[in-house]
Amino acid sequence: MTFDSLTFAVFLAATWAAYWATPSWHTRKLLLLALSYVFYAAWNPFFVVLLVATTAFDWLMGRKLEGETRQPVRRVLLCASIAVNLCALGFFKYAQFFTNTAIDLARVIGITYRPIDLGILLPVGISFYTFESLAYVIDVFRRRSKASTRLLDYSLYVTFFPHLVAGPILRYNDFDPQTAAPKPFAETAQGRGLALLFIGLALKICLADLVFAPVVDTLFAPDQHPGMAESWLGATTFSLQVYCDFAGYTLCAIGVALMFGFRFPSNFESPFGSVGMIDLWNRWHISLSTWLRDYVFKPLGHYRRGRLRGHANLIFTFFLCGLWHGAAWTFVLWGGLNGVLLVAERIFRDHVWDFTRVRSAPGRAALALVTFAIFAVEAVMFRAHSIHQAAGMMATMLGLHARPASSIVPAHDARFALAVGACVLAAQIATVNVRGWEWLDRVSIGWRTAVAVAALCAVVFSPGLNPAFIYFQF
Amino acid sequence: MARRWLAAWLLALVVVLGAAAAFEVHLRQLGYVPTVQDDEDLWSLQADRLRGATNPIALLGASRIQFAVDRERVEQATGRTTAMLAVNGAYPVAALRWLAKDTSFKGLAVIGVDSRGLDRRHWEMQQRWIDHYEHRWTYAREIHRLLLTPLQEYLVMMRSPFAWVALARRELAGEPMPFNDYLVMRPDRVGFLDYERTDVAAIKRQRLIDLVDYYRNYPPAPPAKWLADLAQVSSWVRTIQARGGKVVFFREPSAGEHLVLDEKNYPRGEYWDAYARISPAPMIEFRDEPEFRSFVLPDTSHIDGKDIPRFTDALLAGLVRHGLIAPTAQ
Repeated sequence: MTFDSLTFAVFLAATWAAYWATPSWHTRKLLLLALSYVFYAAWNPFFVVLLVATTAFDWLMGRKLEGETRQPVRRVLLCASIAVNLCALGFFKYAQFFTNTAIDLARVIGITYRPIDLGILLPVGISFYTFESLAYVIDVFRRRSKASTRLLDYSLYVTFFPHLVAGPILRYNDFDPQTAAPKPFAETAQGRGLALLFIGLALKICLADLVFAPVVDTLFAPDQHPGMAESWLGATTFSLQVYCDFAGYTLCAIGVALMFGFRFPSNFESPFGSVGMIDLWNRWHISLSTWLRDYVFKPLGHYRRGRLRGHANLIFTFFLCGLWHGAAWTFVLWGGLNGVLLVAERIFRDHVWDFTRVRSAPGRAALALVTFAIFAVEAVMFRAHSIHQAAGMMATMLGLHARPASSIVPAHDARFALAVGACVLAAQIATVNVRGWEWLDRVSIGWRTAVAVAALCAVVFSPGLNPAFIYFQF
Repeated sequence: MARRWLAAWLLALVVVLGAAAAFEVHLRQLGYVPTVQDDEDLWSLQADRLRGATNPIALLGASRIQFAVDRERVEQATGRTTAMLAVNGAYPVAALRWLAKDTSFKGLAVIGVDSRGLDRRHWEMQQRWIDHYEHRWTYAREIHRLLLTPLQEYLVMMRSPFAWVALARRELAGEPMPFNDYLVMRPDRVGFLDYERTDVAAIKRQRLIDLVDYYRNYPPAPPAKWLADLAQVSSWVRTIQARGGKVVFFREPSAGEHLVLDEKNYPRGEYWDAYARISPAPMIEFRDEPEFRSFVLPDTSHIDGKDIPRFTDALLAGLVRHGLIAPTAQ
């Protein structure tokens, strides 16, 4: 069930009431776990079996890794755990993609196969909980985490419903201490949690779905060939849409977790206020970028083995980032493109101009807009239906491919989306140094009421079509 | 500090509820009425009715079925579970194919369609609804839809044209308030058109313009090609029949210039009647049935909501006469 559905509203109210009415901490955790499985089963009950099985397997592996002292055996155990997790992910998410790719490659060398539909359904959230499980076993292997002694607590770490299907990607070391002691009912956490839930819903329902999505869907339709101005419109509105959609989702997740007394890490920190792509990736989907840094980039050698090797590591890491996002070459290229941009920025800053040293507010705002424009160009690859469509649109945006001016989107729709988008960008540039949402507890009651009214109004006065969150497909 | 949050939320709730109530009253004063909004989820709820039902009736078609046949009345008259699967603006051949593939379906499929709708280019029009049902219909969506429907039934502001974003866009474009829709949809997807609340002449005129444009842009397939394509449709009909089910094609009434244009492009003798001679399913043409001659079609294509009970009874009578439902069923 999605956070913007009435099903979730009922589920949340019932779960919240039952949780806080339960006196025993152990029973509360059991209740949360059971209801998290119900939450997951609402999509497809059969995949709960997969979730339970992989959770139990990784917990057992963690226990064995903890108790084992022989390093070769520990390596075998780690490899087994990683292999099982990646095989599950590979089968459900990538089998069709690799099959299609193999058929395409065979065609190149003159062997023709008919495309095969494997008919594999993707378990919702598998990319997210697989990464959490991998992080856990790797940390236990490195002895950076103690293995969980309680299957209940470990299961709750993987399965706790607010983060189960689309993150943020939690770390066991952050979550485990929170399961140790019962949570007191704190009205501050409740108030702020509810505020974050509604702000997240407003971002998703109101901005992503109603303001930006109609423009994006029109301009990215496979039969459309927008000119330069409309290509830019499509790219920028899509960037804003995916931000409002995903940041909206994670804000809801953080808010809901807070209502149960749990703290989740921040996942977006005004990414469009960033100066440069490196800064942007430190503020965008933070739980994924830090995961990739800790479990891919650093083990590959980081920049320790020389600049060139470091650049290659970075590009490879971002290729994987693209592949994680989706089983399609557009995603892989999008990831690779991001890697190349990050490397290019490093080189530019080292040898030409370190623009991060600019201190003036207008200068940083201008640089933030340039960063957003670069992000928007490469986001085309993320959204396009094919590499061909993406390449055409990107070339048009950069003036490399002349297309006649188009008027696919009604002018007033474009103006409206651009005006709202400008507000989002201005807000992010203005709040680029504000971290987290604790400031909500410090402002006056008047301001808090205003925030609550605005978020509630945005949700209540936006009856819409309830499309799924973009990141659910990953 | 904690109390401040509680106070802030209570205050916010009062403000927003007050604003919502005022907005609702305002919309009603402007003459808008609440209606259920049709979507893939509502369709899926109807599709679910077929699951496990013995000898159900599936009403397939486009708007002429959805806005003319009372599902509840059919169910009461026949005593058989009935599902409204017709989709406004989309011809139903994909739904017939889907029923043929569903081995559990052994009931009666009433397919409202004309020669144009049987043309291969329109076969996939309802596939979106079927894909949604097959791949995206979950318990969570079902509960959401069941909760949403009563809100839409009783609140005008739940209609998507009244979302603040939609209204702001209209304001920017200098457009007036949304068109006061003359369609009221019931939770079971039966639509009631009220022509007294709208400009019939304008609708009729627009319908004619659209149809002329359509036939200009999409000329019909030659009769031989059209007929050859229908071999596949016949195979789906036979699949249903082989397991004890029944299928009937029903050409619903149209009138005036609409009928003239249809006839000009798809002459009955070369298309409908040609297929009727080889179709494994009976084919009911409204002009051959006395019950359908007396209906007024204000926009040349649809009946008024007030005529739905009479139209439903006429359809049931036709089905009895063709031996598709038991005579006692009426």
